[in-house]
Amino acid sequence: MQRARRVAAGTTTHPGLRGAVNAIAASTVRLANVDPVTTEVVRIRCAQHHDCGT
Amino acid sequence: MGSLQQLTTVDVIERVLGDGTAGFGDVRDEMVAAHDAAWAATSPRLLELCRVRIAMLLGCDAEITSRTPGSGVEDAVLGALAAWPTDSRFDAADRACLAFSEHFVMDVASLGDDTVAAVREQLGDDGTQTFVTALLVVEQRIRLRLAWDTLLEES
Repeated sequence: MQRARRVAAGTTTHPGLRGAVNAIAASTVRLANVDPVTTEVVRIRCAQHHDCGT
Repeated sequence: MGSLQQLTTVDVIERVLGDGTAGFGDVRDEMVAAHDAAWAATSPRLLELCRVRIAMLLGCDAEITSRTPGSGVEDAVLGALAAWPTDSRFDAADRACLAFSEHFVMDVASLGDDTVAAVREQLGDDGTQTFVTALLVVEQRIRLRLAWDTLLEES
């Protein structure tokens, strides 16, 4: 599944919020409590479900 | 970690996500920062309506009864939240965002173009993208809270 873009090219998220969400993702993958393979499998599964190409 | 039953949800989140030592980062602090950023970046009224509606749909009593200071939403309006499609206290922006939120929380992968377009009409492109990001932060927080509470049998 790959949908067409639903907001205009160049659309941006509020920079403070975007940075904060990116920081969660970065800190999550650095966690030592979950093994890296499990972390990656879950990340890819979520990306598929959310149709996220990045 | 010891017996989970001996710990509160807050204790476990602190020990699992609050791992700020040894260079492993600190998810808990980043989540708090994102939560604060979500409320600063979008309409507190819209986000409060959607937060409580999501809590209702997911069955998170703690989030249903809590209130976000400064959101500007009266309790009477939140009490009528289930009737948002027809209640006159909800305007076009409220309805567009609540419709989006309901679909987002139930089946995000099938969100329709019309549902997104209704939000864009009210918030614009940047506003929509920011709103959706804020909604993600709020929804994740509620789901995580429910997961921990269920795991620890506190709910």
